[in-house]
Amino acid sequence: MPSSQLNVLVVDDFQSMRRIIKNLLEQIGFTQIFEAEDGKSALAELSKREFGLIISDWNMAPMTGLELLRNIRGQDKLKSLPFIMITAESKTDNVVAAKEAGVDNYIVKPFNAATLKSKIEAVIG
Amino acid sequence: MVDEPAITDEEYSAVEEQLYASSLGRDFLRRRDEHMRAVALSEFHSLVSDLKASISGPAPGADRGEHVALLRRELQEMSAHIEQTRLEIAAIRPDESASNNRILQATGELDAIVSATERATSDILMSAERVQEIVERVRDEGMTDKSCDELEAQATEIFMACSFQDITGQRTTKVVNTLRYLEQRINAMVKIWGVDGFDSAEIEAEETDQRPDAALLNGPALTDGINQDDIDALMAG
Repeated sequence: MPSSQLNVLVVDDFQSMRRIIKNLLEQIGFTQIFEAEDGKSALAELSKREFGLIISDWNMAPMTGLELLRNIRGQDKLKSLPFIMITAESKTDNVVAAKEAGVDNYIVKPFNAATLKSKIEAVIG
Repeated sequence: MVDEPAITDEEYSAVEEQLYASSLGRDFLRRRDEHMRAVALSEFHSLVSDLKASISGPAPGADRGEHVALLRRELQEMSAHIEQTRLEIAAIRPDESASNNRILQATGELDAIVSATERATSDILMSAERVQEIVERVRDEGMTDKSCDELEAQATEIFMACSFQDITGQRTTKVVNTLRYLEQRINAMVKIWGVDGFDSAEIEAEETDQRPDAALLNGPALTDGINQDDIDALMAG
């Protein structure tokens, strides 16, 4: 389903979580997977190369996933970049805030491989 | 209904100025001021007399000595309560050392849990990755695709199960932050009440669960979130 050439950025402050998501992405067929541990370092990665998908956690310091999303949606060059939020924040207010900020899909932890795959398919086809 | 004043401030000033302009008028104003002073003084003396009478006179319906005794008892009880509060605060934070500070201890234990689960998760992930590598190798060596797929699926399950560490880590961090906040508030109370140096041994420990992890047995509340289906509905809406 996905293009193996598509660059994917995984943003999470938990190293284990990045490892889990990266492994799942590899199983799905992605080969170009990059990592960042918070929103700020994600922006640095985004300035280095073009990405086709970003999968980000919410709770990170110094820049949260929501702040990262808003920043990306405010940049002409990046405003259309598909963005999936994967987070333990499952309150309705959180989902609504992310949707209003322009998130393409929202996955609540704990999730399974099938959920991740279906959400990625829904976002990038 | 409020009556309108018969004369405005400006009109009053104008009349007063006119009176000042003549000798008769000035005499009138002087006499008026003297009269007003006399009335004010008389009212003041009357008020002082009333106060004297109410202070020195017997209280209606009760013995004065009984009132004083009651007041003294109330003050003594208040003083005892204040003292007890100071001791209770001292018991929460007897001194600065980590070994005696229960909040610091609890915070440290929670931090240790996060570190331990992080290490365990990393080890499990490493093993799952190793399983995946082995599956790739045995697939090349001729093991059936069905068996290899099953093994890979199980490795994936192990990966997904490891995501618990992220969630428990975040929730534990929230508890740690709450404990740190409580500690700050208690420190502020200590400062306000000046309980440093109190002997916390004066407070008897309550009979509670004595297990080392007794304070950690209640997990975080899980009722305020929504599930993935609800989130999907929100995203679609």
